[in-house]
Amino acid sequence: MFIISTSTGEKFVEGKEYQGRLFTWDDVPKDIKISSIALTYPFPVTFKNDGESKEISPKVSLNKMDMYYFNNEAVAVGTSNEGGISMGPPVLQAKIIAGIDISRDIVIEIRLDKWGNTSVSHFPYTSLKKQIEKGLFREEIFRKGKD
Amino acid sequence: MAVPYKLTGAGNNNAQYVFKVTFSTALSTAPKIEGWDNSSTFPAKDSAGTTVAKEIFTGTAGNSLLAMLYAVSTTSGTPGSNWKPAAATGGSANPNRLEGTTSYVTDTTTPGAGSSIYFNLGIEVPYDATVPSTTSMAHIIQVRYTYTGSAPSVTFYGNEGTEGTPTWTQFTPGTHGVRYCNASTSWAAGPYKLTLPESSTVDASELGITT
Repeated sequence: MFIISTSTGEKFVEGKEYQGRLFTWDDVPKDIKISSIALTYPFPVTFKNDGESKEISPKVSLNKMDMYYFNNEAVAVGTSNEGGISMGPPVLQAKIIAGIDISRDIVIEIRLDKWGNTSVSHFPYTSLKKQIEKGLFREEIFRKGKD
Repeated sequence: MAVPYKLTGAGNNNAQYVFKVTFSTALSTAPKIEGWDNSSTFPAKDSAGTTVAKEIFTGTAGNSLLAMLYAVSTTSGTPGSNWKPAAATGGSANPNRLEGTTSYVTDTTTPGAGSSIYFNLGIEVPYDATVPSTTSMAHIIQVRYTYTGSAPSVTFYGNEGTEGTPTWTQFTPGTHGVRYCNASTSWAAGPYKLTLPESSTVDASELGITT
């Protein structure tokens, strides 16, 4: 679940009730300025301290970036041999948040999978722009960050 | 039409319309075509790939430990004749050998709502592959994709028409599977088998969907 904070103090949370359905990244207005974006773990984590259990929902976050994007990553199994053809529901594998620093020519992606494993990767923004030019990435999912 | 049927043009042939995958809502990046172990027991299958430990991915001494499945994205056009890659390319390549996220194929487009991608698939099996192959070759072909709005429904089809006029048959739930077979297989009656050579490797001349 992503949580967006804006420069004007607004919050946008994935999965909240929104116009009769659940809020998604596509519903994030294009005219806001995101000050930070966080991704919560897919399950609560329990800490034990002095015999007392406390349940928390850890987050990873990004801030101070020029632009941000988000992705749900899923898989669908189409064929197998000796195993049947699937038309079952696709399986969500991970959620991804990313920030783009244009002046440093860097994209930082944080991928949090359904087991709670977290990985961070980075690559040049110029290479992402080439992906966009080739039609391999939809630029419309970008949202603005800092001024 | 119903299974069983031959997949037109499947394998190392210059065919664009073999497999089709349709997404009901727009994706945000180009989808990937991957091969993984099927660790479930027939007729069950894994809901997502997790390992590539079976012989179909690890290879044998007879093929220098090469992954046997290969695929090519054909959304943007025909792949050309003899498109089978001789070796795997780490990460994404088109075409490529399939081995989990170690080597896979990325489609050449990012589908919009209701749009489709196309791909072709083949297998090259060495003479010393394990027989029977029920366990060693059990695998799944999955598509990995990303989206930002409502989750798309994903539908798979096989072409049992012609390359010029495809007839797309939707894969339906059940115990159907892809078979990799010899040339001139009787797809109505079987048998559905691929005969191993005495040396070197053999490519499946035909692929089909069977019950």
